[in-house]
Amino acid sequence: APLPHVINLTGVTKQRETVDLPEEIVEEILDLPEEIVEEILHRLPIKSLLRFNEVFIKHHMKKNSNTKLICLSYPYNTHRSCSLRPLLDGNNNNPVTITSLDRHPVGHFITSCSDPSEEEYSMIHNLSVLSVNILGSCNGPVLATVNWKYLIIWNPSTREAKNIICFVGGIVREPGYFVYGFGCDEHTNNYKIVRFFFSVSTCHAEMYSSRTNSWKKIENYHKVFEYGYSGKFVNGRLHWMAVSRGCYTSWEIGSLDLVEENFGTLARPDYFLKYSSRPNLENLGGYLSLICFDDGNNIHIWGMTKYDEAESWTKFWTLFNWIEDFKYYATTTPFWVTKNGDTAVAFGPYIIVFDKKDESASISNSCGSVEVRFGCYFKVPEIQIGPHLFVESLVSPFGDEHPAKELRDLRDE
Amino acid sequence: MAAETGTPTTLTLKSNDDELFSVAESAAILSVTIRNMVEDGCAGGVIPLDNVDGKTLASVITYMNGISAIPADEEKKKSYRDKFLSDKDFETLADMVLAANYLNMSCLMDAVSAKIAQVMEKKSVGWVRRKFGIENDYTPEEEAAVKEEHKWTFEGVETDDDN
Repeated sequence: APLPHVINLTGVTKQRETVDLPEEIVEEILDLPEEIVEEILHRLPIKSLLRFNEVFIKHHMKKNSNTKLICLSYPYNTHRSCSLRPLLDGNNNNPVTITSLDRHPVGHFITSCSDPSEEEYSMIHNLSVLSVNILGSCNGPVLATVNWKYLIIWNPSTREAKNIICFVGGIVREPGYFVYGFGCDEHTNNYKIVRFFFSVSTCHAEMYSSRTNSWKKIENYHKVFEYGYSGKFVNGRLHWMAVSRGCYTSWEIGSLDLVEENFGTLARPDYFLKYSSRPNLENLGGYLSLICFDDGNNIHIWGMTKYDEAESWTKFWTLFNWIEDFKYYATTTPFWVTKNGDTAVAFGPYIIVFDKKDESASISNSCGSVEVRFGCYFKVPEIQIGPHLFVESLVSPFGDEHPAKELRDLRDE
Repeated sequence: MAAETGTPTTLTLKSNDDELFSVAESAAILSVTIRNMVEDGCAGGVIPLDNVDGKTLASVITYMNGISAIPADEEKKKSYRDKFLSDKDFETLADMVLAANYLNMSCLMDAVSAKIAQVMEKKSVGWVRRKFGIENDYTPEEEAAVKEEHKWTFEGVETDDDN
């Protein structure tokens, strides 16, 4: 149904005439209903949206104090769904580069972080960066580590960054490694970091909460999570590939519920029983996915279409006869399946999109999977692509701490 | 007003400043509001559109005719919409977004909202305040604090002398 609306063509109200607008700039003033304003604001780039934040937040808070203007008042769980961007891990010369496949997986690249904000600058540049690694992302904020020493929660869209204090002393008594996970309790907007330290004989697990801004000890995990892979956040839980100590060929998918804070094990497809190598666990466009390479240069991609239902594991794709050039990047994995079934894959410096639209080029085989043809690819020079995704959003796990906001709250009281 | 088969039915629309417009029914029903009226059988005489003025309605009808003449080809439709909106100023766009909303024309609504966002993208806070008629009731200290919070968003803003 159409929204109620008002056209005010004659312009200014008396009240405004007497206030602060000089004669010469008095012009037509539009009284657009909130819903339409919202519609427009949703289409603005984040940079403009943040600049106009003060105009609309205050206005709408005053005008209609019961209405929450979702797109401006830190839209928890409100994704700007059009912008799914892979994040690229950086190298020495260019610590953090965000490259956007804007709006479509087949799109143009925009480097959007050539001018870091002061916050980012002090966070990242002053730490004499040797490496930046992305450990995970959830609703916009990204968990990254600088030099494997500092943990940073960072929203590349709003440029907010926060150094998370964490201690290593007391944990590391023998050789071992850290495994991380980043996700959120979506009911309370509590962003959580999980960190495990696995050594030959022990496990030490702890959890950080953005609500309390502190760490606490959690239950240890009885198995071992794979080295070098961060947790995949799907359906409110973090997931890792888990193996038993001393028996590294059998594996399972271990999960951690971020609301209940308890561990579980997920159903997996039988298919993998015949393979000795462990598949990679990924979050592929919202589905928990397993990706494996077979001996014949083929990549098999499985997805769990209904969470925690063993029967729902489906083979999404087989990418046959993988091109010679990409063999060297065999550790990299697909990172996105679009709604229409196209699959985007990052391989070393390449991003490749497999096109499902052209059905004539797709051949179904007996397993019910579909052969996809080579679509198109882009090369990003000088960079290794880590297949990370984040959603462009205004979410701030630490939104309440900002001085300007406090000032506003104080005055309004 | 039963039309003979094969003859295009024409509707008469009336703006709130009493201008009358003739438009092919096939084009007019891009508006869900009008389509509902036609389906309910209230399109016999003149359809009054109390929330749209003549200037805006003329523009909307141009759009209706233009877009309905294009066969189902999203690319072509998109380029028509881009061209159609390219010379419209902010006030006209705002009138159109209201009209599109009232007439319940989602494709026009989408296109105009996106165009307005595109116009706003590099504008100053002052410009947006003036255009949206939202007065500035921040104290200078508050304004500075707000600005400080997202300093980088104020880079590359255009000066206000244009529309």
